[in-house]
Amino acid sequence: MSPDTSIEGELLRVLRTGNFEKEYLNELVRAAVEFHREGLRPVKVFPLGIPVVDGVEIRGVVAAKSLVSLLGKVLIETSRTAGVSVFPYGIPNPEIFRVNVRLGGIGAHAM
Amino acid sequence: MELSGVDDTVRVAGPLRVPTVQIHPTLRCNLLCMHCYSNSGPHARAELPVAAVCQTIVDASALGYEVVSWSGGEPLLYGGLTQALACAKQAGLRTTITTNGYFLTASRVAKLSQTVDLIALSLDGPPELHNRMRGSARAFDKVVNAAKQLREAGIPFGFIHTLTGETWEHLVWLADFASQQGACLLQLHPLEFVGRAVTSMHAVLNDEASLAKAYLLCLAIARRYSGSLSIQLDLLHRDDLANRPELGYADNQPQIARSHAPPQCLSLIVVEADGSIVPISSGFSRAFRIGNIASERLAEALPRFLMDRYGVFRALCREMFEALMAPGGPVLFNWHERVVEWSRSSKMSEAQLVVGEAS
Repeated sequence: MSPDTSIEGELLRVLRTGNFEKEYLNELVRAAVEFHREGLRPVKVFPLGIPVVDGVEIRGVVAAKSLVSLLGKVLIETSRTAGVSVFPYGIPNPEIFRVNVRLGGIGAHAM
Repeated sequence: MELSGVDDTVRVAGPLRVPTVQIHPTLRCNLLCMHCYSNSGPHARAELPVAAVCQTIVDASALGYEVVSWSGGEPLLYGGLTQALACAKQAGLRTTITTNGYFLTASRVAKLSQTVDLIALSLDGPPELHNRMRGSARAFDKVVNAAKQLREAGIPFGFIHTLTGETWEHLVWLADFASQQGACLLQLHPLEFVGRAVTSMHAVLNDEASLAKAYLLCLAIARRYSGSLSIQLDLLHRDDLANRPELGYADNQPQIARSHAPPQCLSLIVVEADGSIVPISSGFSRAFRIGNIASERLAEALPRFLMDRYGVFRALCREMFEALMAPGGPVLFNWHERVVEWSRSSKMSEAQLVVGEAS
């Protein structure tokens, strides 16, 4: 049977083999919950740096009115935020933004 | 992905979207599953009288409940099921059944097709794991056959999985399998440490890390199957509960019982195999028993409970809410399991029992 190379297959491999601290996992979950509450849908979780995973990125789409609140919480309350990128969708949806938040700090354990 | 409690359409109180009556008509089951929360098995013989069940269904519909959900035990072993399902349909309720799939033959499925809206097949994981959990070498094949019969009959179906500290690693497989089988739902319900699980599942209890991993995997899985397979994870995050305490009946509004319809005050009631009606979940402390369908009608028992004891029920939920929100409290949790545990250990339950004995 060939290895599962889908995004969720890779994420499973990372979660299974990575020596994650409980606090790191909780930060990931909290960030995802926060995004969901701010209207970021669909929330997506991706392992980063395949094959050497060094972080996880959470991606989603958020309305302009929630953007400031979301970024404030992510930047202030999620201590392992390694990067945030915001892309305006532009015309015809100027009120919608795609947000990618990268959480680092997994380190070399997550192979 | 739906996470219990993260539901924007919730009405007034409780985590459920659609007001539901869950009925456990019997604890009889052909299997002896290792994780069974109700200790069901072949030894059990008692079952609810079908006349009382039908009366309860009629009352539930009149009170405003919209769904009747059948569990057990194995509900397909309940002798009155056909009559009770027909009764539910006649009352305008939607119906769901949770089953191990053993008895979903072509002829049985044909009979159910007019009276069942959704069937949930229990699935513990890949074949070896499923058969081990169920204590039967044929259990997995039976599920596959049941899915085939339902698919061919056009009855919507899903899979319900008991999530353990061992099975989160099978979530990708489970979603892939469910999708291949044509399911519309994959419900993931964390193992509850009650019933038979107490003696046989201690080694695979969920811990905080395994629940977090399951949560993250579900986000990825939901993305892949968006639009075809609904993923429901029965976990609540403490931040969600903190922001919306009404999801856990903890918003200090017991007075709604005097101004709102019963389903808006209590969105899920459970009829257990002994006839007891309890709030929220099987196993809820008998101190908060709403009534018993063997001796009284739901139409009388529920309004009385809401008038006389709903305030104490809400106080119990608020008490648990404050414990969950305390520093060091859990991050992700199965709220239903927590509130059942709390109901059984709180001093409020003792007080309620005294009141019940006095009256």
